[in-house]
Amino acid sequence: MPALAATKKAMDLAEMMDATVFVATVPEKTPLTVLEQMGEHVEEFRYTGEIANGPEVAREYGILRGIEVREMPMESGPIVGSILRVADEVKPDMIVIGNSGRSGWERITLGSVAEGVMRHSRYPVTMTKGYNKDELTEILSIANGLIKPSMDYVTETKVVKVPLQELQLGKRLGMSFAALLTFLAPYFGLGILNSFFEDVATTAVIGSMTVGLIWLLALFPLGIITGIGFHRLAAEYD
Amino acid sequence: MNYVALSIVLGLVAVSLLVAIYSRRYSRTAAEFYVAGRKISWLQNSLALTGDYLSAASFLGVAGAIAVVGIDKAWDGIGYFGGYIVLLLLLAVPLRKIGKFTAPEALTTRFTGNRAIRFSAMFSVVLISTFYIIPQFIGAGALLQLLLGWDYVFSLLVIGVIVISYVAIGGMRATTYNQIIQGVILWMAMALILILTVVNFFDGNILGIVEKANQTIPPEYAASRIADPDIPTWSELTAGAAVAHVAQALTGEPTGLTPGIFATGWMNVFALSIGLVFGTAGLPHVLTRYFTVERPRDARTSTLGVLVLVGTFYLMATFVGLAAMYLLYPDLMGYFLDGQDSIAQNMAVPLLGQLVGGNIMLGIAIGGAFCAILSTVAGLLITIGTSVTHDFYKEVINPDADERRQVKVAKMAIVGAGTIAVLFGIGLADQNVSYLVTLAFGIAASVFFPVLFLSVWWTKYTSQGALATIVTGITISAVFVGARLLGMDDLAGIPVLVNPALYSLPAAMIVGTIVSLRTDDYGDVDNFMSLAHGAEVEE
Repeated sequence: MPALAATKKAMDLAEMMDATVFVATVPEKTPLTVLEQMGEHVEEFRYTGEIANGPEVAREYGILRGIEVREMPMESGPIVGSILRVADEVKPDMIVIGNSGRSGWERITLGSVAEGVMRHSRYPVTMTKGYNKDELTEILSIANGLIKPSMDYVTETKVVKVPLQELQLGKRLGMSFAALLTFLAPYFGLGILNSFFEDVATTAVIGSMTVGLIWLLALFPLGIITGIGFHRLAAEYD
Repeated sequence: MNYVALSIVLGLVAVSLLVAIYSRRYSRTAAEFYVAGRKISWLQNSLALTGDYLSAASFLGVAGAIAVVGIDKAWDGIGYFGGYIVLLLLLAVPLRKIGKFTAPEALTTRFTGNRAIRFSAMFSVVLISTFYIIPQFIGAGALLQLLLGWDYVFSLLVIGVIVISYVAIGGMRATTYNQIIQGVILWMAMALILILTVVNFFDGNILGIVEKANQTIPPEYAASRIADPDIPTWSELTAGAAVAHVAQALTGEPTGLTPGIFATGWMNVFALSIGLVFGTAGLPHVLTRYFTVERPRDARTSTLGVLVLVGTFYLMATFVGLAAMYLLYPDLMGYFLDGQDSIAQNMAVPLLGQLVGGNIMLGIAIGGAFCAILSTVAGLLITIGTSVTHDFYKEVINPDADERRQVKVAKMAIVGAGTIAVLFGIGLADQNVSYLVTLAFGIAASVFFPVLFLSVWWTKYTSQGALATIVTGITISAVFVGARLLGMDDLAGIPVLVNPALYSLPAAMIVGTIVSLRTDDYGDVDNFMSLAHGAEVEE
C-alpha cells in the first residue's frame, strides 16, 4: 500500500514535469526459512496490505496514465544502498519513496528504508506518508489483479527438461562415491583399528600420541580437503 | 547463586539477540552498496547451519562424554563432522535444486501427490526433531541447576517455558539471524576455554593434555569399579593425586586414550559410526536450511564453510574433553559416587571453564551453551512447525489456509512438540546429551538419508519402495532406540547396540530396493531428475 501511494505520487509528479518514471523494487534477501518468511509476511501485511508485483503494477499504471515507465534491474544488497546506487545511475530529478509507517518494535528492529534514503540521497526526495484508499482506487484495482500468490517469494525453479541419459547420473554418482570413499575408508578404518587392532591403536608413537588418536585427528583435515576437492570437481558440472 | 556467572550468561544471550537485530536492520538500511549480497548469503548460511547444528550435544555433550569415558566418545565429534561430507557429496546440491520447503515435500516432488509418503515423512520429521530437542532441554536444565542451584525438574520446566515461548512468540521471525550470532558465540566460547586451559594448566603445550589423559582411568569406568575402602575424600585431592590414587587402586585398566570403553566390540563401533556419518544427511532441520540457500552452488560453499567451522569446533572439544577428564577428576569421581550423574555426564565444559577462568569463564561457558541450545531448539521447532503446517495441515485439513492461519498452526505444533520434549527430559535426566543426540542421528540415518538418497539418484526407485524405506527405517530404528533406553540387552535374540543404524539403515535400503524392483510407479522421474541434476536455472 505505501508503495502504491508512492507510485501514484511519482506518476502525478512525472505528469506535471513531463518526466519518465524509473521503477526500483528491491527484494530483501534473507537467509530465513519458509516459516520465518511467512511470519515476516504476516507482520508486514499489517503495514503494506496485499503484496503485488510492484514493477508490473507501475508499468500498467503508467500505460493508463500515458507516462513512460522504465524498470531498473536490481542487484541484491542492502536496500537503501541499492536504491542509492540506482539513483546514481539514473540521476533523477526526484526520488519518490513510500514510508511504511512502521512503529514501535517493528521500527526498532527493521529500521526505516525511507529515512535512510532521505538522509543519504544526493537528489531531492519526496516521501509519501500514509495513504488514502479513495485516491488510490485506480492503481489499487491494477494491483489487485497482480497480487503475488502468497508463497511466490520462495524461489520458483523452472525445469529445463533433460533426457535422463544426458544427466549422466551414473558418472556423477560415481564421482561422488569416489570422493566419499576418500573420507569414509579412513573413517571406518578407524573403527576397524579400534575394534580389531586395539594394541596398534593404543601404541604411542609421538610422545603420548597414540596411533588411534593421530588417525582420529587426521580425519578432520582430510574431511575438509575432501570437501574442497569435490567442490572443485563438481564446479565443472555447474 | 552465582551472580557474576549469571550476569555474564544473561549478557551473552542478550548480546546475541541485539546483534541479530542490528545486523538485520543494517542489511536493510546500510547506505553503502556492496554486491556481496550473494557471497554473504553463503557465509550467513554456513553460520546459521553451524548454529543450528552445534547444539547442547556438541557444546556440552561431546567434551562431557570424552571427560567421563575417554577418547571412545570422540566418535561423536568426528561422526557429526563426517556427516556433513556425506551430505555435501550426495545430497546438498540436488536438494537445493529441488528447492522445496520441507524434506517430505521434496519426496512428493518426485512421487507426486503421494500422501502416504508425505505423511509418514512428516511423522518422521516430528519424531526425529522432537527426540533431538529432549537432550537440549536436559542440558539446559542441568545448566540452570549448576548456575542457580535450583532443583533439576524445576530448572527444566522454567527453561522449557522460556525456550518454547522464545520460539513460538518472538522467534518465528528472523530467528535465523539469532542463530548466526549464536553460532559465532558458542564457537568462540569453546576456543577461549581451550586456550585458557592449555595456557594455565599445560604450559601452553596442547600435547600435555594427551599425556595426562593417557595416565587417567576414565571416571565413569573407574567409579563403577572402585571398591569402597579405596574411596578417598575427593575434595581434598588434587587432580594429579586423585588420578594416581585411582590408578593405583585399579591396576591394568584402560586409560583415556583406550578405545572400546563406550562402544564395546565391532558391532557397537560400526553401529555408532554408521549412525553418525549418515545421520546428518537425514536430519530434517539441517535439510531445511538447504532449501533457503540462494543458488545451488551456494549449497556446496555453505557446506564447506560448515565443515571448517564444525571441524575445528570438534577438534577443540576433543582436547577440552580430555583436559577436563584429568583436571576435573576429583569432581567427576565425586559426582558419580554421589549419584549426581546428570552433572557428571554433561557439565564438564562449564566446570572446566570455572576451573580455568573463575566465575567469568563459567558464565561464558554456560552462555555459550545456552546459545547452542537456543539456536538448535529454534531450528528444530521451526522445522516441526513447518512440516506439520505444510505437509499436513495445508495438505489435508485446510488447503485454503492463509498465512496467518498457517503461522498459528505452526505455533501450536511448536508448543505441543516442545512440551512433549520437556516431559521426556525429566525422565531421561541422567543420560549424556550427546548420546541421546546420537540416537536421533541413528533414526535420521535410517529414514531420510536412504529415502532421499534413493529418490535423488535411482531412476527405478518407486513410490512403494520409498514408502517401504520410510516405514522400515522408522520402525526398526525407533524400536531399537526404545529398547536401548529401557536398558534391554537383546531383542528377540538380536543384541541391542549403542545405535540402531547398523540394523535399520541397511534394512531400509534393502527393503526399499526389493519393493522397488517388484513395483513400477517411478513417479515423475524425468522432470524430477532434470530438476535435481540439470543445469542451474537463474530466476
